[in-house]
Amino acid sequence: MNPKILEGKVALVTGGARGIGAGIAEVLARAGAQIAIGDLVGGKHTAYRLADHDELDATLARLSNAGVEPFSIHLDVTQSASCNSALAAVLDHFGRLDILVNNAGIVRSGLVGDLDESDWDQMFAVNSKGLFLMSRAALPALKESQGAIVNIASVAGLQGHAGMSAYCGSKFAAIGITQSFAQEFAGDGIRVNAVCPGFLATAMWLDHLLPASDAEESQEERAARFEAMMNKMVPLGRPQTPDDIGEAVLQLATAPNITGVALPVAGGAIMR
Amino acid sequence: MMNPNRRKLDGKVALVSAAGRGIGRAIAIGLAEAGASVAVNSYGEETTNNTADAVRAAGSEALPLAGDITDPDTILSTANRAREHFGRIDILVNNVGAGPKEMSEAEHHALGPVAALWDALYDQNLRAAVLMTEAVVPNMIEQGHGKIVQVSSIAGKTSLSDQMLKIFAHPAYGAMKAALCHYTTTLAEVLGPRGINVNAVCPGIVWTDSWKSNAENAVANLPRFRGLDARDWFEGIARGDYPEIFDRTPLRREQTVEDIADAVVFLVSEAARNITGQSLMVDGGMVKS
Ligand SMILES: NC(=O)c1ccc[n+]([C@@H]2O[C@H](COP(=O)([O-])OP(=O)(O)OC[C@H]3O[C@@H](n4cnc5c(N)ncnc54)[C@H](O)[C@@H]3O)[C@@H](O)[C@H]2O)c1
Repeated sequence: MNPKILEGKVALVTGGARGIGAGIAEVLARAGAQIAIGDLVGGKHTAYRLADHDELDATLARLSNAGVEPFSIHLDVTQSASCNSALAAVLDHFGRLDILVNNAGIVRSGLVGDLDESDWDQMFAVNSKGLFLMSRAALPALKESQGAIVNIASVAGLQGHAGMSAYCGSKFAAIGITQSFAQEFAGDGIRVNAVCPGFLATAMWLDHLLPASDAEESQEERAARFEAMMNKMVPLGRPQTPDDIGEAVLQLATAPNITGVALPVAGGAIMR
Repeated sequence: MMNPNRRKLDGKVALVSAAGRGIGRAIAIGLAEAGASVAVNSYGEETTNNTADAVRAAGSEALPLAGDITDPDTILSTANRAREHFGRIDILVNNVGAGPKEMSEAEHHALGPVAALWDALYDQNLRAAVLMTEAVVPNMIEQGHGKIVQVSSIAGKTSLSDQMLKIFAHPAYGAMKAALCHYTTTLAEVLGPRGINVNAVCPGIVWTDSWKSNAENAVANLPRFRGLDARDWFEGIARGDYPEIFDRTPLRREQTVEDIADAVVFLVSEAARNITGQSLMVDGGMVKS
């Protein structure tokens, strides 16, 4: 692959202020793309803290180091007006859009009896409906560029788990939406695929999913405990990293004859 | 952190079977372009040497190893010669596979011809890949790393239309390719802890010699296509002209040998170091499973 295969292209990464989205943005930037980051910086969620301004600034600085001038927009993927104006801002700034990465997502675990209806709704609003609102807003620009959409689903979109009904349901939906979009947009020359990350040491795991420990624990100790847990759970014996997910996004975004797939990047934790 | 060269294969050694033409040849060239040295196997001397020349033209070292790669002795000697020459094998691509080429003699009972056909497709599509994998894996385990890609097929992921099964792809072919996908998952499970990634790619319908001859066969023998140009007829598949035979290809274009090579090069590179046990469809969206 030409290392600058995305030269002249523009990518929008939702939820790109930190975590996986930031890693995806960096890989695409290194491949030559101009980068727009859309994120609900300072947004509220009941289970853990979403991205803040410091995290966004750190990501923007890393992108600048990778040689691009990133463009950052405030975005709430659950609001159609916000999606539409974010898209307009990207087009205004860069003049085009080639790759939409729907990465924004939230998680909350909880047994059915403990899950608030509002949490359920919020997870589906971000993880499922967000794909609809954002992709609909981007469709005309992607038609023009013959571009691609990559949705960040999850291994949770391929297998259910106790205590994860809302998250898994919203991610199964994301894969169904991916397949449907792939068929619907193919005639317009737009490819649509999903990447299914397995287990990464981002806020989702470190600040929420990782079971609490009895003792006081530093952030490093939590990260080490996460790593040890994944070493046992994952056939390849390690968690995945944001740049692993970014490389898979890059591959699917540039493969001219792949559409409608959901590719697990999970060290073999799920196989299909 | 991130290494910009995660897609490069400099210093790696690859072995590709059935690489004389078509998809296998493109894979060998793709690996070479990414920097890998390639041991090239194909049935005949001439095709083997041609691909080896193409590997060298891409700037990499080539080792031509002609021979029938469904034969266990040839499988072993091919793996051994590649390892002796290069010192190790980092990447194995089992591209061998085909429709029935030459059938073994049918046994003289009512089920003889069916048995012979299934045996032949097993030999070509499953057994050859399994034996080569078994020949290479012990050293991969010893060295603590390795990448294996099985070239499967859309036929291994779904059923096909009755017409397609009757005319182009015997059910035994799909069954063997499905088994290859399943073997990919169990092998990935077993070899994951040893640092070895195992994946498959499932090509759609690619204009190789075998689809060329399918197309010639179609325009010669199927009354409704008689007289058409074989290549024109083939292009109709991706266009969606024969919905009673081929599922719609949403992207409306044929898949190329380079598309498949691209997917393989990705899967054996460090960019995909955390992908294992997967069967990646490269089919323009044709198969919806
Ligand atoms: N971490 C994992 O192990 C894992 C595994 C599988 C899938 N995923 C998926 O990967 C994606 C990224 O997750 P992450 O692990 O990087 O977590 P993260 O919390 O670090 O990143 C999510 C980002 O999305 C943003 N966001 C949340 N709601 C938003 C909204 N309404 N509009 C715009 N932006 C919003 C957050 O501010 C944050 O920056 C998510 O879709 C997640 O479901 C993560």
